[in-house]
Amino acid sequence: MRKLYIIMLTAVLITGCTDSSPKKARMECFDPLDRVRTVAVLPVLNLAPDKSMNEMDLGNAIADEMTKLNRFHVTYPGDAAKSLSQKGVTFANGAVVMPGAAVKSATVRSEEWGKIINDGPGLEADTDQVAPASTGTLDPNLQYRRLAQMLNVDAVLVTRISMFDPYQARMALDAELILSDSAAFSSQEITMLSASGTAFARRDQQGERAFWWMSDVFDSEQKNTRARILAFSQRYYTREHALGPKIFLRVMSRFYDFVAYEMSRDLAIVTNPKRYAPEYEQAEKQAGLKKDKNNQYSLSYN
Amino acid sequence: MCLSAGLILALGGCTETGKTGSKLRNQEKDGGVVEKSSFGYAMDYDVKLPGVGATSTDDVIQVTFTTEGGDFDVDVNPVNSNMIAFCSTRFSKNPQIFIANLGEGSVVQKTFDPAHSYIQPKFSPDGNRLAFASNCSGLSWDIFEINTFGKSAMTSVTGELRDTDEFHPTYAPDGFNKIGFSVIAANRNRIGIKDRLTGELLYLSTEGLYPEWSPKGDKIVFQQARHIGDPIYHIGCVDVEMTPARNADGGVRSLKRVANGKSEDCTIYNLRTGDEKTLVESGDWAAINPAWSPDGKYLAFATVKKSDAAIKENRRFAGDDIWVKDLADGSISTVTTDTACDWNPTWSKDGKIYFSSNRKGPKNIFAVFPKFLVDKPEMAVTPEPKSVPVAGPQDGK
Repeated sequence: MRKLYIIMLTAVLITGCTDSSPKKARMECFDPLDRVRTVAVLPVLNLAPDKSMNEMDLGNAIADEMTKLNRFHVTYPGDAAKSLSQKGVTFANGAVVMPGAAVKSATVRSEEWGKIINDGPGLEADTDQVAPASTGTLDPNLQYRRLAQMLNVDAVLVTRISMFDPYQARMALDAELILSDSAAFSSQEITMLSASGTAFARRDQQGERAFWWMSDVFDSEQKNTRARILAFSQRYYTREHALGPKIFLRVMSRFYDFVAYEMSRDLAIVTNPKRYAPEYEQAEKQAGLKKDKNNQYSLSYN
Repeated sequence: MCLSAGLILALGGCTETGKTGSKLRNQEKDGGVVEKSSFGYAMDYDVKLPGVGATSTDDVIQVTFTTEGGDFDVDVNPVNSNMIAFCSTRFSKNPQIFIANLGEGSVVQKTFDPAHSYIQPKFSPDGNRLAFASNCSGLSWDIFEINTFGKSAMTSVTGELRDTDEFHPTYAPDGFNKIGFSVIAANRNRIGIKDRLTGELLYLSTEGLYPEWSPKGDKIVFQQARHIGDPIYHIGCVDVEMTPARNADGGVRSLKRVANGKSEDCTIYNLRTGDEKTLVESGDWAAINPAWSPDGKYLAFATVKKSDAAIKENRRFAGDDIWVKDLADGSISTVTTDTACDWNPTWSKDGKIYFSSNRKGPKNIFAVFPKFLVDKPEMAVTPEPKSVPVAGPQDGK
């Protein structure tokens, strides 16, 4: 027994004193939203045949929900539209009309990528060869990035409606959060790149500068959507919640609120699941929802 | 008996490094720290300030000693081997540029903007200007320049490029008035070259990152990711030829420029690319951060996931060791062997290789004199005579 103690003591001393453990490389992780401090919610672009939607109400509801995330300083659509109109940018018929100067500068810069040195002559390329663009359209991504730069925000939220039916409460929507800058690299990323042995894709590279997007149809006749409306009303409209989804949606602005809530929920969970997923799931559990084997919510209320 | 043996063994293990440390401290106390490493290289630094100085523990010499944040991205003044520029997070979360004079033991902070990052400093060939990358515009990473000595306003080199990120500047040899840099946009890595006289911007047709212009100006080396399998980096090189631009009448095109209070004619050069080849490549490990030796005969680079320790820890995003390739015979030799991460090598005129490492915990700057260069007293390159006037640093363009 005494020998055993001695052996154990020796082992402890040896392992305690030798510093033979290999040094670990420090891996740095980053949340893509970390560097986004200011977001402008652009006026909603309504491409749906039914023009009865109040785009400003929906835009304000979205901005409200973005504010509730407590992550950004949010510019509301009215303020964004006013600020942009002073710079000649207008929103009409579901499209953004940009002044010629903005289109020109962006086009010239993108053309610069064409000036590549190849072997042989033609090296004295003249900048004037790039034709000035006074009209025309920009790549949508570049266009929205330019708007974000005009508004001096880190990102803009672009929302497009392709279908809307106020009677059935149905809406098809797609939304993108587009970064203003082309500084695709944060300080951590660019430092990491300098020591990296592998080309790594930035998380926000997909779709150029849009690092979050969603495309969804919210149809209040669908069982799954009704379940989600129930969860939403449980959280924010406690009194009306007991009336059920159909009566709850008699007021159209609540449907807007619900859609905005779904958007911000998706944005929050996709970009930072650790922080936001438990919070939303808890609210959904309280509303009596549970996910089935297809990961769809089932409704306990009918 | 067993207990005694165990204690002796354990204590021996504990005090081994302590002995070395105390020995060094005693030498420092004796004054005039002139330490010979095992490879015959003498350190002549005799002043040591907190944070900057030089001590030797082995053939590798620690140059900076920050304990908060880290020091990295080192470059050595091509004229004065005792002057280094580096960026550091010792005083702010975002890195700032510092210049240290190792001979005097002084350190000067050159940028003071904790809200933005200033990285990858690079001395101009005459040592009077310092280019670096910064995101201070708030829009993208751009290249800027400042004077090495004294205060000066930042001059934007690529500020007009708002849709791309530019970083890692590299100067063409003095007189050509060109500056190269990495450009990243829309998943494409390119090497941009800006003529500082005409403002003309061109991109090399090859993909690449971290370009380094050779001392003679006839080659640009860079790292490049392969597009198949694991996209690990290898080191490629492209020949470049710079010829004076001609007017319609056959005369050399030049521009007048005022620098240091003097007006001078500066020749405009055209750049033409030539052969491209791979210098260092492996299917198993990556080669990154290429750096020319002052005579252009050697190429230092960092490996990734090459050593046993790095393979064991699957370190794909951190440098491993510093290696040197002899471009004459194609052989490669290891310069550092520590299990910690070493990356970002750069040469001084006197043949030392400075690099970043976390071997003592925080990232710091270290230096080493490669073993195989002990017998080579002078590595400084002699610029080839040119038929056109050599321009100085550009001011206020």
